[in-house]
Amino acid sequence: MALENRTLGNAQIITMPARLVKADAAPVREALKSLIGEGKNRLVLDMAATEFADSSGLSVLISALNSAKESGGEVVLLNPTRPIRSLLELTRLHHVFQIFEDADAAAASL
Amino acid sequence: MSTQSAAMSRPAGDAVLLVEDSLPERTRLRFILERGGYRVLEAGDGDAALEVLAAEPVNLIVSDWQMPRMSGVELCRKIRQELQLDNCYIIMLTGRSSRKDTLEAFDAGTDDFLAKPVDRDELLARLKVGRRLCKLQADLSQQYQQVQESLTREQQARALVDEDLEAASLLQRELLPPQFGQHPGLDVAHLFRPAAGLGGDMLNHVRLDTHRVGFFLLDVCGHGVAPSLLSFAVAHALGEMFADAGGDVRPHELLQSLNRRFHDRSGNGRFFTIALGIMDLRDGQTRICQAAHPPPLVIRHEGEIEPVPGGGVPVGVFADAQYETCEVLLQPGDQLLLFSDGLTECESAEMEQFGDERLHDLLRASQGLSPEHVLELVHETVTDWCGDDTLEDDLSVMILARQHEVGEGRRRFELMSRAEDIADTVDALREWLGANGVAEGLGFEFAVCVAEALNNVEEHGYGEESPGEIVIDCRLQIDAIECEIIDHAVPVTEMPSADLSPGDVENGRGWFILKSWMDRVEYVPAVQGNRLRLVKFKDSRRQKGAPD
Repeated sequence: MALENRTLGNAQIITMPARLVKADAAPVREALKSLIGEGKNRLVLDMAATEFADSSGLSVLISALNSAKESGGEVVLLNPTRPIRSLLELTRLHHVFQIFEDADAAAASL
Repeated sequence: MSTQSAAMSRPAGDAVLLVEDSLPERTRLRFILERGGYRVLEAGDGDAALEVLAAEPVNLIVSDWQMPRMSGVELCRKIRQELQLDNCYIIMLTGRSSRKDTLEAFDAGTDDFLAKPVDRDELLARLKVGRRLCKLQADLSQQYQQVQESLTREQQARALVDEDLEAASLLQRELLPPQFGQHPGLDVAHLFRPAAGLGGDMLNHVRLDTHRVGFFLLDVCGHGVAPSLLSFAVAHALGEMFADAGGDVRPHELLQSLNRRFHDRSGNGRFFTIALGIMDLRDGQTRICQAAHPPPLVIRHEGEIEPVPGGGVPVGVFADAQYETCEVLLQPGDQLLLFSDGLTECESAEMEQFGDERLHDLLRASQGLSPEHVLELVHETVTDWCGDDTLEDDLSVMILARQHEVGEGRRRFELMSRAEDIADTVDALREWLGANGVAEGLGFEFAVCVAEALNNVEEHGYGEESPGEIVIDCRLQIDAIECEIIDHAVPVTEMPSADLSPGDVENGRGWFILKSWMDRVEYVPAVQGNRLRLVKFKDSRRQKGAPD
């Protein structure tokens, strides 16, 4: 699965899918992993289009963060929708990920 | 008694262990003992004595105090501590009698002393005391063992009975309708709390045809096994009667035929009270018949409380009893409450009954709430009133509530436990919630929780290798969104962990989300598989974390 991505500064802005549940998790996980494998390990995950996610979807974000960090990179989140933000907050992931509302600021942080 | 004391007076071959290092003294003592009727085992020192005892635990021991290698007191200690022979009587033969020595010997487990040179009569007399004490102790321990055994048998029998009662009580619950049910335009909820594990109350509501619902709530006099068996039988009979009921049947006809069938010829006092009715779902026209039951209450949507007139004698008392059908019209938004007298007659610590007035006030105050919410308030209030969790009498309450409007208030989803199916179903659920005006945030939280519950069935219920069927029965209530997730997978015996460790990839945070966002997460007993009930209240004051 190819995720739409563009380069901004030294970061990759990745457009996350509208739905991120267990059925969607594996291909997204692999796509992110292969980007990181190519050395593109500074990722901004653009969550603006993501309307729905479950705990398996959240684990995709965490495994991307872990792989990126192993190679000295970083993953931040951009513009999660309000419900997704409430899910991140409930599961305390807003302490694990930096969350930005502006792509430039997100890219500049990396 | 006389034969026993005769037996006591003669040793009849009781064994005595004689421990004495001096051969002449030992010979003399053996002679005395044998003449006294005892069988004598001999030991020349402590070690030999221990060997004899290891082979034959003798009850009576006569030992010299001063012996080479091991003193009598040391021997005594070993007998008590190492061989752990408690039920033996040890007489120490001694030339000394200092207070300190005596205390030390007692401490070691000596029972009695005899001064040397040993007097024949005194030795035999003291042995007789020893025998009596040993016998007493043996009797006691035998009796204790018998008591223990009979206690164990009793406990086992009790456990079997408890197991049966437990099974019967589960069966009784299986006979009940789901706690929250619906017919077109009608919500039904009930509360069923037997006083003992098995209740004499029973209730049900069933569809008779496309537009009619039959319902009843009955209370067999007493509670426990016999009343509950009768309530099973009556419920079964009523089920058949409802199934056969023609379009025009009136409740009093059903009740009269029920009365003939369950007429208590034996005069054992096996009778019951009941409220029985049939409702037309199209217009709310409801026919109700009662037999000495607390009158059902109509709760008008404007808040008025109207008892349904009726009366009659209990069912089973007179074979030719006549009953009356009463008609009430339930408007949309009206509710009908049926209950057993356990509700109004439950007593406070001051022996004051809860009473009709308090019930009416409570119902007026809960006007406009969903049946589930009303029952919850009723339950809480009554439990508070009684002051504890144990009820004196069975408590059962059923509410039939005509919906304000017949709408798209219920949706059933059927799916297989596969990730793809789950994702599609949850999409459809979100769409349905949105189309029915559920607020975005609320719908999102509800849908995430359903997704987590479904994932859990997929992973831990059926297993990813062997998907199975799942049914979701989803309902929009006035004040809540709720659903039941029904599967036929391995019954859940343990709730999944609801712990959270934010940075962990593998950690299933699903159950944590579910527990946090749902206001009710409960497994409803099922014959096989699982029924998980999830409720989310719309009113934030009733949601989790809301201040009391």
